Amino acid sequence: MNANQIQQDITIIKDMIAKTRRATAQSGLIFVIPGILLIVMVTAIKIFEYMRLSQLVIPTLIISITVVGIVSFIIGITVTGKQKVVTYANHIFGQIWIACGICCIITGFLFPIFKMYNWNLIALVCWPVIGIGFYLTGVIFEIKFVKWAGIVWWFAALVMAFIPGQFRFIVVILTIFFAYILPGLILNRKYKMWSQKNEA
Amino acid sequence: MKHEQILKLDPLIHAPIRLAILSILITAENANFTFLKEAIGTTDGNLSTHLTKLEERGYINIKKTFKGKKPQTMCTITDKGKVAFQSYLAQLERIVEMQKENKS
Repeated sequence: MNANQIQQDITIIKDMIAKTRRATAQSGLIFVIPGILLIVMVTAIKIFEYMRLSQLVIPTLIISITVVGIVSFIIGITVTGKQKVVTYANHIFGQIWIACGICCIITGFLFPIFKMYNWNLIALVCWPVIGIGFYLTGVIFEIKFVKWAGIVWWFAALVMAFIPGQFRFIVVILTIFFAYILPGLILNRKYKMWSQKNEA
Repeated sequence: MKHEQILKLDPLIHAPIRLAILSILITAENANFTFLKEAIGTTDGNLSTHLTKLEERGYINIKKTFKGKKPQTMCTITDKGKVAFQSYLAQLERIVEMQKENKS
């Protein structure tokens, strides 16, 4: 076996690992679409509060969170079903977001229903959990900006703890846009580039 | 280059397409036939032949299912396959080191 044959073997191994990694990149849609729905929900709630229709706030919250949860689940199942290769990283990514989702349902949905705390503190409770999801996603896929998105969620939770309640919705909308939708769009762009590279 | 070292390379893995298959499966939990074919750049028949050889040795598992009416072939690497691939890599490393020693 000469040096060329060894080099060929090494090249094959490296190429195949790189192609597999690119093929399992996340499309980002699981963040973009639910993110847009969340912004619409938060804006609607603020409008209802402004128009003194506070009796609509809680039903809107319940319906919106349910819709976002169902949409995220459907996108997750659809994307997973289309994947031709599943890595351990994909598997763990899915499990992390299932865990974060269940935690948010319990602490951010059921606890207010059972009057453990007031509805307007939901973001303070859920934001750190979502931050864990993004941070670990960034670690697993080795994408720095997604890790930083996680840190932004944690920072936003801290900021909301110290600002007056009526301004929290601004932080909520900014976090969802910059640390949920934007990472989703960037992931989607990278996913398209990688898909084209794999097909070439 | 010591002849014994080359002989220790697993001849089943020491083929470009089978090496490529195992490289993908060592990274992935599972991979379907279409992905393997596209990533490696080979034909259906050629890929099937190599997959069968690996399955016969017990290095991979092949599961055939249906997604609606569309047949799906999913491949996963077995524990035996992982050990064999890791041994192959270790042996490759030793050969590279020996070549460096021979040059110096």
